[in-house]
Amino acid sequence: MLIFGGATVWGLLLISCVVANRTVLAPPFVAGAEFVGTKKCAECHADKAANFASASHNRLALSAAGVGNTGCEGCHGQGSLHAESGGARGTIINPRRSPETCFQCHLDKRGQFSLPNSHPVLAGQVSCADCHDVHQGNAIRDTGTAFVNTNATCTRCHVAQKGPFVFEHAAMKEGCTICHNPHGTINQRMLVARDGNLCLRCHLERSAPGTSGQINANAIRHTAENHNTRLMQGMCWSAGCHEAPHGSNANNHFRR
Amino acid sequence: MHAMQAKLSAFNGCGHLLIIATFALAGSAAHAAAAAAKPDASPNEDAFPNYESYIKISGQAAAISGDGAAFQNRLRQPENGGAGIEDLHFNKIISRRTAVTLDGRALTGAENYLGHFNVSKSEVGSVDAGYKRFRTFYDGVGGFFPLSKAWFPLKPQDLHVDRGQFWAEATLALKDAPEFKLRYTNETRGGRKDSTHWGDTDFTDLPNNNPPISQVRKLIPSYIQLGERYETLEGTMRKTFGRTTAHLTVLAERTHKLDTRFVTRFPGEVRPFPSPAATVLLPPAQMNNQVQLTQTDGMNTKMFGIVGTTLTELSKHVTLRTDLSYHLVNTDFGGDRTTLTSIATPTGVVIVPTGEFLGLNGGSRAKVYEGKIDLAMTPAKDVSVNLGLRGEDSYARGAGAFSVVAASGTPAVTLATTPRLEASRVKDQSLSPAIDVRYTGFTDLALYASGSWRILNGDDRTTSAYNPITSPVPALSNLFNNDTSENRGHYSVGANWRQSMAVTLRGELFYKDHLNKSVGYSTNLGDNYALGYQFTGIKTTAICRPHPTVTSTLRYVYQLGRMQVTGFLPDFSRYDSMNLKNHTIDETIDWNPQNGFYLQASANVVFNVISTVYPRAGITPASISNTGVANAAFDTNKVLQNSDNNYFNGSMLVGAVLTKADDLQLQGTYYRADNGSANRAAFTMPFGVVVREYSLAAGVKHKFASGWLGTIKVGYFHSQNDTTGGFTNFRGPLAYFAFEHAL
Repeated sequence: MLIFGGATVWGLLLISCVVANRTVLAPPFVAGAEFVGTKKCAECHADKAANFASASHNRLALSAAGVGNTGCEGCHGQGSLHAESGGARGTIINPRRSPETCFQCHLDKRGQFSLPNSHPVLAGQVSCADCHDVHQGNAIRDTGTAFVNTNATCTRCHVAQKGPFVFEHAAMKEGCTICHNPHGTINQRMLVARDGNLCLRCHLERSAPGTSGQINANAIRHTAENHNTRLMQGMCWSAGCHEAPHGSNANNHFRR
Repeated sequence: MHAMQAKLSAFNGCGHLLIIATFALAGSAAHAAAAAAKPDASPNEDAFPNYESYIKISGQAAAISGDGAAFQNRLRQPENGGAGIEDLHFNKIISRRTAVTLDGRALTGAENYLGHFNVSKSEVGSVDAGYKRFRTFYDGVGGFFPLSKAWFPLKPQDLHVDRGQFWAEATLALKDAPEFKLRYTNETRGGRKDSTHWGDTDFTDLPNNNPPISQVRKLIPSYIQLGERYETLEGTMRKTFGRTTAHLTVLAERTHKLDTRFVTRFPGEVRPFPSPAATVLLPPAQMNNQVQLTQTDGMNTKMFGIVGTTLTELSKHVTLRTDLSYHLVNTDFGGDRTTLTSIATPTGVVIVPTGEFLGLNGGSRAKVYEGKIDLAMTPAKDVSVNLGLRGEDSYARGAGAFSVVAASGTPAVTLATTPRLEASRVKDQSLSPAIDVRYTGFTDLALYASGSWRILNGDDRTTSAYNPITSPVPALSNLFNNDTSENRGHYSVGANWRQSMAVTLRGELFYKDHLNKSVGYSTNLGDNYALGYQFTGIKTTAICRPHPTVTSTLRYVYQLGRMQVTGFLPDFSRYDSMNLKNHTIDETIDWNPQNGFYLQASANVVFNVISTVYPRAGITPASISNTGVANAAFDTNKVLQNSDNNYFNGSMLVGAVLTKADDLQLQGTYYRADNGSANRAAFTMPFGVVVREYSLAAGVKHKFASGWLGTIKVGYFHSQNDTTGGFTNFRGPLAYFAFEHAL
């Protein structure tokens, strides 16, 4: 198999060097173009360039960046053809149409988006820029002093989880990402853990005074009920258990 | 030359069709290897054309054997194939200052549609409107139980959700005048998807009279019917006064949600009458009663908000940004949760309708004030500093009422309805300072450090549901008054070093520290709880170009997390409740030996384990009894093990010029996760993910004429999923074609 595959590759290599006079490059590079520098980009895209100094990605900018290594062209590809043509279609990389630009550096995200449980970025239905601000401020929108609420990035699409609920799950204050990895995981619903461990990270504590004090399922938060059986049966959010982990309008234990 | 690149990009991606969904899985889509310079100024006389306006017609088909629903879910494509307009783009310059753009897509099967219109006139404004929609498929799987080989397919099988968005936006941008923008969006989400609220079954080959081992496992699939709408209307004005640019935005939002979840518990089971003693061994069909559960959640919200922003260039080296906002949200909610329980009586089995909540009716109101100030400075040539401070004050209250219909008696068929009331009120105030410092004084080296904090104090009061007839005022056990606080810090330091044109190194250290407290006060039981956690780690990237034609990018991410819980303050000290370790190793190699050939290979290896205290819980004492049968001491450690989330992804992509009119592309992918825990099924529900997948594909892109391009691609996908006992395996060939024509 390896020999056959290797022969195929070498065969293609030989063919490709003689039959045509054109360049093929893996995206996100623009064949035939050269770097022109960020200042050139700003001539037309002043709105994007104006606040880039505050962008997370600007932290990598070198004083002698010169060519596009860490400027606009680091993500959009070489810009000379785009500039010369006055912005012709196909002369520049648009990361909204392909995540390849982002995967240049975020190799791990390529792997996560390839998992069965992931947002459909590779299918083109969602783009990295739908959730991340790359031209200004924090790339992760709802962190630091960003002017949006925690979870606003997620609840913009996942309206049902937005609430407000009569009984809010405190975990929502930590953010959706405390339980979900939005880039993808091997678990259903992009959960970071597949079973009761997801909840027990926070909900396992020494039991109430007067009980054995043992650190086990008897000590699941604020109940004297033995949860060994519950955990044996399935997930904490299974039917009949805590079915409303995002918040509930009917039960303060998120049972329904 | 650029034209070829653009076409290759499209060739690799092929829009939203099978090629991306199938052949780009597991990271096989074409990708760049590094930010280092590439051999780009190369001969390109034979490049494929790049059309300004074009239409692309495509189709796809698959001949899948195995689970079609799993195929649709994994590949995000319809099992029965589809065809249509994959991409339509029309661009026309109407006049020297006016341009019109049209975009379209209409793919049947995938139900992927787009209609987009834009007309813009420089120094006047633009009108932009459109509608887009796409479908997401679900497989409806539940759990697989290896002891009994139990597997329950979900009916109905046809699960999908359509997301749609209509938008219309008008911008007035006259020269030397304020800019106005008005935008309306209407987003919808409708259809049916699976739910992880799996129901119970006793068909596990485990006895019912062997406590504390439970014979019940929750693995019956369930689903949810969605009907959601989200509308926004937003008006923005932008004006520049001297050195200050101000934005004022007024927005209104309206959401409507009516979702219904359908769950079956203990399907096919009815416990006999009279009920046997707990010590009697029963057949699975008599261990419990079937329950058909339906829960409807309805919610309407209306939000009004106003946001003001100013950006002022105080000097060449100092920029000030301020933000103020106010949001008001009013919500009405309702719903029902009905259960139909099959109960054996002396005269036969009857269906007993009960309701855990019926006629839920309530509302909530939330107000949020926010303010922020940011100062961006460059105190020296190579130093930039950003200082920020954000404050937030939020208030929310909600209340609801519903009825409970419960059954009692022996058998439990006598119904009684009782009312319930509930309420909550939450007040939070927070401050979030932040600092970000960057230094670029060294040639080819950038250094940065940042820190942000959040200090929150709040007061939460909730009244859990109580019966106002039997208890005119809520009992103390229904009241929870808590002082809440949060202290969070996020820190990072990093560097980007271009050691040479051949080597670039990047690294970042990060640390997060959170402490959340909730302490009861007043005369109620309240809450006594503190949760702390720390995440620390490092991200490193090495980009190397050992040869002008080879680029290697290696990324390694290490993360260590810990959580601590303190319960029933102040009686007990805190202890670790979670440990997390994560190693992510990623490599991409890009080889461009000549203009007409490239090869890319990538791999992702992840070692991830989340461990709570539970696997080290020890022996549960023998005194516990939950069925009337004396329980023996039980090794709790068997119930729950660490959550391992390890996997490997690999892919290879080869692109080559075959002839003046043909390009070839070959792709292969491989994905494997092996976290099996089936051997523990006697004591737990084994969730470990065990999957192996691979795909192979070959495609040719052909130039028929200057205005005609064609693509054909064939492939094969194989998926073996032991997590579901092999019941969701699928495999088979796939094919895709496309024709592109210049307009």
